[in-house]
Amino acid sequence: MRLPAGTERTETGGLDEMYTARERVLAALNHSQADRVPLALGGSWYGVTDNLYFNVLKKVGLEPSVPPFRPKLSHTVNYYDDRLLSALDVDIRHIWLGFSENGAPPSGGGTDNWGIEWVETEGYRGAKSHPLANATIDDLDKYNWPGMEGLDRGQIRARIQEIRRSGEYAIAGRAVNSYGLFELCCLLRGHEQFNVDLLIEPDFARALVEKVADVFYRLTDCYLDAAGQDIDILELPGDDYADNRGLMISPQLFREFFAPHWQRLIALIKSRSPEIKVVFHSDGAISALLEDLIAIGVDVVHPLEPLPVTDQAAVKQAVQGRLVILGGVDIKEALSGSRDAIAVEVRQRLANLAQGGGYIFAPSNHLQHDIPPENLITLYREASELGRYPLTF
Amino acid sequence: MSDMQVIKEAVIGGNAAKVKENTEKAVAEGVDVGIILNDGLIAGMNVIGVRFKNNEIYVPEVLIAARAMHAGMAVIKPLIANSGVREKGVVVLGTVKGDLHDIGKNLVGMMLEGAGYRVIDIGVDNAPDKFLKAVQEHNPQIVGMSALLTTTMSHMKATIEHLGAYRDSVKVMIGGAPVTQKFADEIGADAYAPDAATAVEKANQLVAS
Repeated sequence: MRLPAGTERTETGGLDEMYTARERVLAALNHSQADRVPLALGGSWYGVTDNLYFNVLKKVGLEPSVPPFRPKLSHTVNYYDDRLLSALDVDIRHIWLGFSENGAPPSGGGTDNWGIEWVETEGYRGAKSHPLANATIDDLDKYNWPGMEGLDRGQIRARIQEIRRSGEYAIAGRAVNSYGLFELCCLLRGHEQFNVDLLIEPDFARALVEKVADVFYRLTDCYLDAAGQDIDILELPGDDYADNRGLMISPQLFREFFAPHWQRLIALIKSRSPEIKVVFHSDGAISALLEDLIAIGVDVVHPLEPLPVTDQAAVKQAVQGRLVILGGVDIKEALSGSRDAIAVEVRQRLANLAQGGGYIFAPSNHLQHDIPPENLITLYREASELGRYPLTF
Repeated sequence: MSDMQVIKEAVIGGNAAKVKENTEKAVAEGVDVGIILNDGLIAGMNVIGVRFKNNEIYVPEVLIAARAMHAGMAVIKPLIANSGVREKGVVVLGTVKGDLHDIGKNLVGMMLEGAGYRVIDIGVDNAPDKFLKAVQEHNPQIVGMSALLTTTMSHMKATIEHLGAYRDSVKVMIGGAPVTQKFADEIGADAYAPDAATAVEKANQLVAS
């Protein structure tokens, strides 16, 4: 992959220059600025939940919907619609591996390809049982870990061709799995027990993390076989290490149990396709882990949530030129408000995060159906307008 | 180190076996159950609460401390009824309708127990009527509601309304990732706790008021 012409000319961010969507994204990924802040929607953790999607389609006159990319309607976000992204001036298009999408439990609940049983209530899923709750280290070897069967390289290639035909977009690979190392171990073992394991049964915890990481490794290898030369961005399985007030596990536990496996995965990606930028997701107040993430090779972090304990502008300054920020937009309050409230929110995030480039605009989490459809449209219009470089505020 | 200091330190360190052993020893030596509870087990959890709030320790350390405390509680529980030791209060705790996320709620429960409350955990996905029934059955001072989703948060308001006349005797405390003080004020909750350690402080204020 090459750096497109135009990115070197972006120092001044001249409005007259024409950028393709992909050039705009690559500029941000390379810590520089193009004509405006690139916009993202539809990624592993910043999609549109189904009911809101249907409402927005009606609003913009794009009905009927496309077929779901998650055929089992297994999530709150099951549709990926290029037409809607075009209408919102979104600069990235996603591909997906098909592992989580096809291996999910059926709508209404059931067992997924990891052996975790799910129940559904009001459209949201929760784990009903934890298959490794009583397991020993020896049991881990005998466990029926998911294989790579059923992955359809042809489907991935077809999706890439579809994107290429539609325009010059940056292409991002959605995460190979819905949950990351820590969260998946919690689901397999039981949340409380796995947290306790980290301190009381460290050998077991280490072995479990390794087993899960091995599956991620094989999935990522398959993904790169099919699409490694075509994607600009790859999203790692999202893994929440923080809550609203700070980290949920100590930096030491992160370094000891999880960082080495994330590093192994990132090294695989970079060895196969050095140009791919790797995105790491954790909800919550994650600032205390950012230097660790940079050290293991993470290029982009999502979402750096706007929380009382997180000084986004200070964090941005601290990681400028070393870590790209994707997201940052509040989904809890501002998006339910007035047009003015949305403009204030957009301005605030841009002021905090977009100066000097290295920022891709996106919500901090999936947009929920409590958001009025016109507000989603307003959000992206405002971002497209206010995000023109040079920023004037 | 005094016997109570040993129990307290063992709770802080999450050493369940040591807590159990030393609690049994203290009981055998005739130490007052109230002293074991307050100066040993609860004293240890108090330190855990402060350290957790200050980000000096994290969820795993809190969980092993809570387990250690429970190991001691199991020893003295049969003796508490006849000891004259009074619980600090009763809290009914659950996630609201449609919400299956119970990690935060469970932590709050552990911290409240660690502070001397009796916690009635009614689990996840509780319709307003389930909260009401639990209030009628257990006569708590506090109802704690948790929600992780912006979409399920609205059930908190419905639950508060459903408690009706019981609102005179029961305080409502809410929490969860999307919940804010502003939201708590809007729906008429008595307290908002942003985290499990603060939940204990707020509960203490609510039962004192």
